[in-house]
Amino acid sequence: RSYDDEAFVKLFAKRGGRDIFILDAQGAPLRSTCSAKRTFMFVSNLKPLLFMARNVVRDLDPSNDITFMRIRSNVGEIHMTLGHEFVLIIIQRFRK
Amino acid sequence: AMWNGVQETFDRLVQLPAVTGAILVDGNGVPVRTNLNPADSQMYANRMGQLVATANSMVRDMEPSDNLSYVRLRTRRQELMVATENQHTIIVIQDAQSLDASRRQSMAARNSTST
Repeated sequence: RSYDDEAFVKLFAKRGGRDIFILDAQGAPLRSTCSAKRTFMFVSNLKPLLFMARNVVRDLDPSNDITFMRIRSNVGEIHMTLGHEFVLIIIQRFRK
Repeated sequence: AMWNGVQETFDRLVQLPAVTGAILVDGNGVPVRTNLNPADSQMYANRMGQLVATANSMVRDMEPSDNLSYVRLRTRRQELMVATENQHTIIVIQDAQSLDASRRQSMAARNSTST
């Protein structure tokens, strides 16, 4: 079963997912639901954090690796899923 | 009063399911309560402290009025949760398998009561 782009985005939008980014394994953006400028802003903020977290995990246990990171703030959450070939980032805003 | 609030939060989080490690770090980066050995506790405190500081400044960069609540990291074997409150940092380590099992249980319980 495969999703087309719209169905994929709608699936997350239903649950408050506002923006979705797909990056390749090196962190270069492949797909995004928002403008290139905004994508760049998000990715340049999140990429160092992601790699820092990965290093933290590997430092503590070299055989271990990070699969998922969730950052929760007052206004929303950022979910990052790390696969072998890609990174999926979903930005979610809490409804008032 | 500031310390008590953090202590209560810490005591509450330690009760979470599948907790294998719990570290309370003070404002100077020193682990003041922990169930791991001192070397590991200091190692976690240093690394997670950096991570949570970076995450907080990132959150503020994206929205100046916003504030970090917590960071949750999932690895193959564990989930780590880091939160800061009143200059103290709380680190909770949970075993991934047991945690997922208990999440499945509570999801099943919630679904069956809502039908």
